[in-house]
Amino acid sequence: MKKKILVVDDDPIQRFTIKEVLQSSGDFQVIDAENGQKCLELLKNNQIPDLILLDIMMPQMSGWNVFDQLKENTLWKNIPIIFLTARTDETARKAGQFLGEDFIEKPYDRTDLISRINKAVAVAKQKQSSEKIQKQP
Amino acid sequence: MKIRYKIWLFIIFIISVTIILINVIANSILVSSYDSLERKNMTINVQRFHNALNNEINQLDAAVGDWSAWNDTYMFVGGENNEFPDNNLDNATLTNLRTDIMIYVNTSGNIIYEKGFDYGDQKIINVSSSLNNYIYKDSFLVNFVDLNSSIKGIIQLPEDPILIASRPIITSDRQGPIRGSVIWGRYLDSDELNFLSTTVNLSASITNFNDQASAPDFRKAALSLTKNGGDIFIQQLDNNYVAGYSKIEDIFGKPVLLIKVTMDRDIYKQGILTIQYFQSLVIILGVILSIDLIFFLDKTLLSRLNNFNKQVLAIGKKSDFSTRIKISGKDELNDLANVTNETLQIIESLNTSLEQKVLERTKKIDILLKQKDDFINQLGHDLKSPLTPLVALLPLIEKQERDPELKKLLGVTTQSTKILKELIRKTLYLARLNALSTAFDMEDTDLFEVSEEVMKNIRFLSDKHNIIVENKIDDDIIVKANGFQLKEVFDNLLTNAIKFSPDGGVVTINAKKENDFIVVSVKDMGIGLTKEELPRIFDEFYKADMSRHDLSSSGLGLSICKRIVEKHGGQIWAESPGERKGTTIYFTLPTIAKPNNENISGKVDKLLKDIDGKKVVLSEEKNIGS
Repeated sequence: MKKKILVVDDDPIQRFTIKEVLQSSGDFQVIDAENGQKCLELLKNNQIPDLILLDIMMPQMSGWNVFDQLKENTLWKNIPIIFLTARTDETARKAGQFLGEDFIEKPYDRTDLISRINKAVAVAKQKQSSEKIQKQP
Repeated sequence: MKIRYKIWLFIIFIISVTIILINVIANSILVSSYDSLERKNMTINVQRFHNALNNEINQLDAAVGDWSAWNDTYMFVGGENNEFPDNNLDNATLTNLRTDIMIYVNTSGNIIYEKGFDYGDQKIINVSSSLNNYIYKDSFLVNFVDLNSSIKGIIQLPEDPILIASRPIITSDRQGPIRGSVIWGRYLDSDELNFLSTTVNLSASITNFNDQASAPDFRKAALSLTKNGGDIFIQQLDNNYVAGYSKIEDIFGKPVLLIKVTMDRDIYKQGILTIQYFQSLVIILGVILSIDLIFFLDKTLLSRLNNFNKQVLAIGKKSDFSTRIKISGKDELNDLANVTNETLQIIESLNTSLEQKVLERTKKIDILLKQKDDFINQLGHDLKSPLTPLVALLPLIEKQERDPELKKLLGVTTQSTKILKELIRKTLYLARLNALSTAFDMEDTDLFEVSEEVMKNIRFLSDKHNIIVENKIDDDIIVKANGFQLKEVFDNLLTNAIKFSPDGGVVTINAKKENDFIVVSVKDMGIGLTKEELPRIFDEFYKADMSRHDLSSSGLGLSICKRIVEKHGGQIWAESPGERKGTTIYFTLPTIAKPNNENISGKVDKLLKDIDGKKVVLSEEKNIGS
């Protein structure tokens, strides 16, 4: 089954690039949102992805705000997130690490992006299944 | 020489000269006046001796006068009173009269009676025959016309000089005719001399005036008295005695005797002693005055001057212009201190305003530098987003393209994009190093491990050019460093070394300990550097070979290395024996963590140096990161 990836970025070129890159590998189904609100709407419509690629620098609602709302929702909080940004400041990097999510710098390497996504999805799945095992007894 | 010693020397010199002058003047004036006082005294004493001698003669004459005008004597010489000598002229009488010789002569010159008796030794002596030569009829001792006349004086006899008095023999009521004369004599012998000496309380001696065999001082005196005239000759015998000489004339007015009166030089000696006391007093006063003067000058001037000097020196040494000079008292020195303090005030305010200005300028420069870094940062990040599709999609297209011609073009494009990406990455990295003054987390880092890891990462590059990288770093070296940044340094240096080495060359890395630092070296056998190039290679965007359009070189690698090394508290520099002779890059790393405490001047120096070298970096900034 193809992994469903949600790309949130205000720049259509960026969304297009990611779509192309991921779909070219054949393992991914890509949906996109042009801002935070659209992203949340998609999620509400039960479009739950395997992973969200989240741009930080967006107008109106920044990547951080989106992140906060995702984590507040019990249904969405376990969706793995990879931040995407052109900012390479230590601040951004540390914030990313602190929140326990991965962080990818633009311009990214195609293979690097794919392997990171795969890894993050695998980690999240493992986590989910172990939680289920704990809940069953 | 210090002023203190100069003044001391001056005072001692002045006081010494004064003492010497006073002493010389005192000596010349006082000694000569004591001398003349002594001479005056001597003259009086010689005179006294003379008077005493004359007194003796007069006294003898008076006694002869008594005995010659006496009926008993008159009758005895007339041949009547034959018991006269036995009754009157016994030894006791002669002793009493202090008479050695008695001669009674009649007018014919015949000696009626004569007696010699040394009253000093109490013994009978002969009447000198040489005296008898003067006894004859018309002798001046015998022939008298006037009843009251007398003859008295000194006659030099071969044995001794003798005091002689002679008078005509007359009756007790002083009537003639004259029957003869009475001649008495008293030897001027040692007894008489003693008597005279005792009388005048002076020691005296006598000698023959013309005696060539007499003592030298007598001869000198006799010669002087004969030659220069005068009555008295005075000479100092030694320090204790002075002698006065005078000639004594005989009954005929001829100088026959020379007397010498010796006197203790009490006056002179007392005078000298007084001078000496005076001189001692002057010296003591001089010394006291010197000490007082020195003490006074020291207290009022020199020690304060010294204190002044010390304070000024201390200010100069510490460059602490806020200090003020404190000098006690209210005088010129105090005024000088006030003037100096005013000057210090001016310097201080100048200094403060200068520091203020420097701070302001530094702030401005800091702001400008920050703006530059912000600009680079902004530009870099702005370039990143549009670059993303190129970097991500070009390889995809290249991979899918079947047409070899197009594939080749796409390959070049992809490569360029990669370089562009790397260039932006490095530029941003350098900007971050500059801008954030990032306080790296410094940890104990194994130098060998880090270098090995980097070597592994660039193995593909060294293998491609067939270059051997030798790692001679000992595996027990631990430095205080940030491992990630240190890897960046090694990566840049090794990449450069390999890039500039000929194929098949050797690159050597090594490290050795020096004090608290480890000196790491990366040596290649490559193109080398000229002297002019050596300091410039760490400048931003500097490329070793400008003519080589090497797209893969950003010209930022060494700048990044320099910033990282400096942030570790180390230094980086290059050495090269010349072009085509290889290059060695050295950098130092601390083995113990160093607190970063550059002061303002150091900061400014660094800024100016960096600006001068057209390499603009932000030297120091608050920790924005972390």
